[in-house]
Amino acid sequence: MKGIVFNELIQLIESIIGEVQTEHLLEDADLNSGGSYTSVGTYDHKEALSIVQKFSKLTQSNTDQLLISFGRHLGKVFVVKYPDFYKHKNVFFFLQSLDSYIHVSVKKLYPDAELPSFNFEMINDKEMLLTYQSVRPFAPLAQGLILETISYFGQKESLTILNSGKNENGHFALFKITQGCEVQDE
Amino acid sequence: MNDSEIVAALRKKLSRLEKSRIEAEHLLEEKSEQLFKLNQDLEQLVEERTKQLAIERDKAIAASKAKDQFLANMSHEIRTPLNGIIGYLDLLSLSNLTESQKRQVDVTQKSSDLLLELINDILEFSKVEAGEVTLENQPFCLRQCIEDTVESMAYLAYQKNLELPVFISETIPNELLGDEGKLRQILINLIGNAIKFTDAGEVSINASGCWINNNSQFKVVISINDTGIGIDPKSLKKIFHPFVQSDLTDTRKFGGTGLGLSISKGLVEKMGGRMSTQSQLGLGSKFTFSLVLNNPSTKTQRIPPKSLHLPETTIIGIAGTFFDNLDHRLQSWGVNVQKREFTDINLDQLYSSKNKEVFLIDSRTIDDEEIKKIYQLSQNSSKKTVLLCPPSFQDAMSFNNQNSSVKIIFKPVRSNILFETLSQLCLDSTTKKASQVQPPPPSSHQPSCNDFCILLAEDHPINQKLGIAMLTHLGFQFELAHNGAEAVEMARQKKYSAILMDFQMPKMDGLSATKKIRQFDNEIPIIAMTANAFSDVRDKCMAIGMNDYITKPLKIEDLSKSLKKQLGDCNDSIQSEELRSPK
Repeated sequence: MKGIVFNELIQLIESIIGEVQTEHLLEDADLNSGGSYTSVGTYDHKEALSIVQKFSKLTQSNTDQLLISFGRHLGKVFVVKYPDFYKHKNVFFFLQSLDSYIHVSVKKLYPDAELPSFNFEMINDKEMLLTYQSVRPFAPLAQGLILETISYFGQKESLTILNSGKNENGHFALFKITQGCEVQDE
Repeated sequence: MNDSEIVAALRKKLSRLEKSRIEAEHLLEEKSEQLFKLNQDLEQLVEERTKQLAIERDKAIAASKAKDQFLANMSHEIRTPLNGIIGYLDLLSLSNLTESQKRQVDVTQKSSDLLLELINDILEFSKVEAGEVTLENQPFCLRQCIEDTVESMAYLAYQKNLELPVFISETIPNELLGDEGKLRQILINLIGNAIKFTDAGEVSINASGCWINNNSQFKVVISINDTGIGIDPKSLKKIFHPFVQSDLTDTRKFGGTGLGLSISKGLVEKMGGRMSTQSQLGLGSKFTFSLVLNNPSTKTQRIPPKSLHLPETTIIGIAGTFFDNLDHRLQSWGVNVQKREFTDINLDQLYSSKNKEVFLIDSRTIDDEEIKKIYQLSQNSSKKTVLLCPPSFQDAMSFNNQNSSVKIIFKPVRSNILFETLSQLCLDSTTKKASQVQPPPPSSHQPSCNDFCILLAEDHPINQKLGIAMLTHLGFQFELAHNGAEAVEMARQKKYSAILMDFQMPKMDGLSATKKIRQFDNEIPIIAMTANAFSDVRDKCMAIGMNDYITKPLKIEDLSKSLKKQLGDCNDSIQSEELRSPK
């Protein structure tokens, strides 16, 4: 997992519990990297999970819920850092370009990046099925990212999770995005 | 939490961030190294590919040049035997043939002419492509050049019942410097195309222009407008590309190499001009080109406006460009003109009044009976009539002689002939001077061709035989020289009436031989025979003292004309009618 994700996660935690608490949390998590991340480096995703779990324990909140919030935070960061990826007419076009364009570009820049795959299927003009598939259990993070993207495009789409869990390829989640409804926050 | 705890936590953060900075620096170095290596690889790859591309490009250019050269060489090689075929066919057509044989010879002649035209096109195109076209800068009359060219194509147009109106603006000066031959070539191509692709209506030619660059140059704009099949917008973009016709089926239907327009455009651009085209499918096309010609004098040539004082004048014809041009021209001479369509005219009524009037009647509107009636009615009338007839109009001369109140002008109407005819018609009705120049009466003491001995200098066996056959047919005596050196020696030994000098010969070529002959004989007419009709060759001939040139393939008519021009008229063994008769 790229260092940018870790750095953003630590920044988010710092903004909530402060620098000192965060340092204690990182120490508690007993990370191989010692919590030192550089945004272009690559690190074990389990460290991110450990940090989230420690934070969940500290704040007594649900891990998935925390990952969704982090996904939304990450979404806001990506819009600022990579505006070119967001030059689409609506969220459907953006999501359709995830695997075919955005991830292709990321792979060019970071050949060692292990990216999740997103397969889409249009049910009709207004409904889309999106399958998340990854070796890592970050479906809630993806969910947060999608929700933030819907907000960014300012459209009235709703996001429903039809199914999620583990399969032979790792972790998966099946999302349904429907046009024509108010943006729903989780 | 006490201060020391906070300090300790912040120190941890600091060391964590420091560690990540060091890691980032390592990564950066690693990536920079990778990038450098990739860049080197890429540079090497680009260099290799560029080399490869340059080799392929050079190969392609060389192949294209070789093809051009091959095309030019082959065209030249094909032309030599073809000259023999065309020449002998010309002779064969004059011998006693049965009707069926005449038809067969006729078809063979037409096919050979077409083949020669194609080969000439390819040769000319190769020259334009290779940038080998040289331009003349000789004084010529632009108006006359356009009128002569249009007149030479009138037969083709009127054969298809097409009107061929020409309008040359009065602003066009009398003399300009430029390449008349090339301009003629462009006009023949564009007008020829227009006639070829028009089945009904007209092909009109317009020329106008203005002085530019402090009066040192004249920019002329010529447009050829037709009412033909037109070109669809898609094809319009590529018609100036070589070997392209607007529709592939055109090649089968209309023939041609598709080189004419490319050649013309190339020549126009060489002469500092541009060529453009507009067209609408089914309605017609308009080709416009401009040329920049030089002023032979340092001042603007002002053409004094002409004026005519005519009684009441009426143009009777069919509405269209021809009608409008005539009206415009007459008005520019200060003539007050009325226009009438022939459908509202009763000839008896028209000629019945006593007042003086001039009628210009387009012969397309009337039949032979009506023409006869016009002659009868105008005999004792105060009316003067000008009949505007197609070039094929046959009874013109006899009508002209019968009645001085009726004059014939052949289309395409030349502005100066119209002016002179109308001036004469209204000055003195008793003058018998016709608008057409009458040939002088034949002299009763003409020398016979047999009195002349021609030296034929030619190396190629086929052309030798052909030259001999033609000279024999025309009734001339002749002697043969096989190369330039032999011709010089023979001319030194004997006084010939004229020399027919081939251009390219072994031992000594035609130009060198002429130079030698001119050292001891300045009188003898020397006529160049060349397969190369380009103007630079013509210039060379004249510059070294040749008197005339004829182009190969030799045509008996050209040979006869040129010899007559040099030797004066003589009674040759073929009748002039026979020579003139179309194949």
